[in-house]
Amino acid sequence: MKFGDHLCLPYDNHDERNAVLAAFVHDGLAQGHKVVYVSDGQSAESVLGWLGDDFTEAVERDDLVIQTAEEAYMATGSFDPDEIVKLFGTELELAMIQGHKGLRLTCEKKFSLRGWPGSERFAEFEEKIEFIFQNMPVNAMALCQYDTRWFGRRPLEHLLGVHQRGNVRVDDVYDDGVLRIAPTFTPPGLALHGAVEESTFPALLRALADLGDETGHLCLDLAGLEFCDMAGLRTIIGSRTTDEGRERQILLRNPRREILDLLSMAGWEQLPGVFVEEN
Amino acid sequence: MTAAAFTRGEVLVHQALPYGSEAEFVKAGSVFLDDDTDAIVAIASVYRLALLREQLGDRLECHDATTWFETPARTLSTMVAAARERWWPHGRARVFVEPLWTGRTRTEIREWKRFECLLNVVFSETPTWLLCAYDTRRLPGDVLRDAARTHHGDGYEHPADFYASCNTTPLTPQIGPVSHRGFMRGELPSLRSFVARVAGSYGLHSTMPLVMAVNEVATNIIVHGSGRGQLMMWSDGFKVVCDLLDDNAVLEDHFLGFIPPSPDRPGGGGMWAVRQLCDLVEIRDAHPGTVFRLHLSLGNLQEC
Repeated sequence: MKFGDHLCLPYDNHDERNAVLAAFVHDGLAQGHKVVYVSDGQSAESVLGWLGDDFTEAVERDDLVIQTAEEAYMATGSFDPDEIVKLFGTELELAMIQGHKGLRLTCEKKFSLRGWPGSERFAEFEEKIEFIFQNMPVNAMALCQYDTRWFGRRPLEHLLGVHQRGNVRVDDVYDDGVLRIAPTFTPPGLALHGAVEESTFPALLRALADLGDETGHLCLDLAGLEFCDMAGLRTIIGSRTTDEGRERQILLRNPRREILDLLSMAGWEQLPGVFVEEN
Repeated sequence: MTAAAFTRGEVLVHQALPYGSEAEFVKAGSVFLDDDTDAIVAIASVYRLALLREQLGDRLECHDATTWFETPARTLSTMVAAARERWWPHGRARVFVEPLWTGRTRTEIREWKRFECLLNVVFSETPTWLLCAYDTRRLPGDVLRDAARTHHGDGYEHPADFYASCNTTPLTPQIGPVSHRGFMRGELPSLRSFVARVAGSYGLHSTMPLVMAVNEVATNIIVHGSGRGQLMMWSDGFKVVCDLLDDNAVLEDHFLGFIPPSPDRPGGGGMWAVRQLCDLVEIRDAHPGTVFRLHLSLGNLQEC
């Protein structure tokens, strides 16, 4: 992410959210930004609990500020988009005066569903923020967290759509234009996009090795895997044994027809520990 | 081989039965398959299966030869799977089979003779008794003569020798126009697109199996061969043929790709996949180098 970005993170599991936010906070502090985290209602201790202890010092130095939405936005007893936009300007100035290079804001937007007075203007608030980011150069970036399990479909579509620069997602593990590997969270594992073949085979091996052997379940999302050679297929099936020799279950999610046919041909989809999920 | 040798342990018996009349065929089959405990299997024409079933009852497992003999590699896989799942659990398998020779090209006949030889490798040390019927009235002389080389008895040849002798026949000439493309390390994605495009232009509806097969051979050449090769493709309207040439390295073909890969045993299974995906695979010394020829039917009706 960079200054001028107003992005959203829709998520349906905390592991993915936590991974993205940990990286966001870490990168911000490393680059000399002030980071402001507005939580739905959790205390600072609670947020630090999953963000990581390394950030405690940053809180003490005031480089990282953790507030609840109530503290941040409801000082006047009512949610007022214009007031909060002004507040944003003040925060940014303060950050610069304090010697920071800029401001990183992130907010858990679930608070907007609590029915607080003025919160019916929440969409307006997002639109105003978007307007600022689009039209003024600011040494700031905003990451809006949307727990999709809580929002209705249409309101969510509208709110996500306000963020014209789009979504944030977790960094890919690997991408060379032929094969792209992204992490998955529920269950943990890898999503493969493109082609596993001679040139990309080492990257697959590395990515599997880097997963370690902590988990008893491994997800391999193959919906985006357009091509896989036999060496790749063997390696995918072979991931049911970790490098240290432990057995684990592997879930092959949405393999394409040709890949499934190849697996059936070899009889590998029936091996113990191998599960194929199609939806 | 006698029944005694058979009962001594896990040993393959693979015999040929030349016959000259319908009655001879049915009588020999009925006697051979008359056993109460072994798994009994017949693979023949539908008409003859009915005759055998009359004699032996419903315990006889029957398979229509016209559908059983798909391609040599796939038939081998099917037989191994059937033996593992249904026959060997009984202890022993007695299989009475009439292979299919009619309507085949010279190339196909050679590869099906190779199939007989491969049974000796794939089923060695298994409790299997194969009796293959050969019609002396109708089959070409070379098929009858080579049966002696691939079946136990006088004239039996070591499978490696017979297999190697099959590879001395040169490949038939390419039929123009030929589409041609060189490849080396890092160029597999564009090679795959090329194959899909050209095969599609020949009328192949589902191009992925051929793309996968060509990719495996090309990978073999890149990783285990000289690192670069040539692809030549053409079609006669009924099938598409791909030659992959490594003009430097010689790849030894010792039953290459006929043994299925095990996920726990080293050996990629690439050539095995190629033989499963294609109708026929021929490997020859290219003097210099090695050529792999892949055949895949377009699915059009064959000329009679």
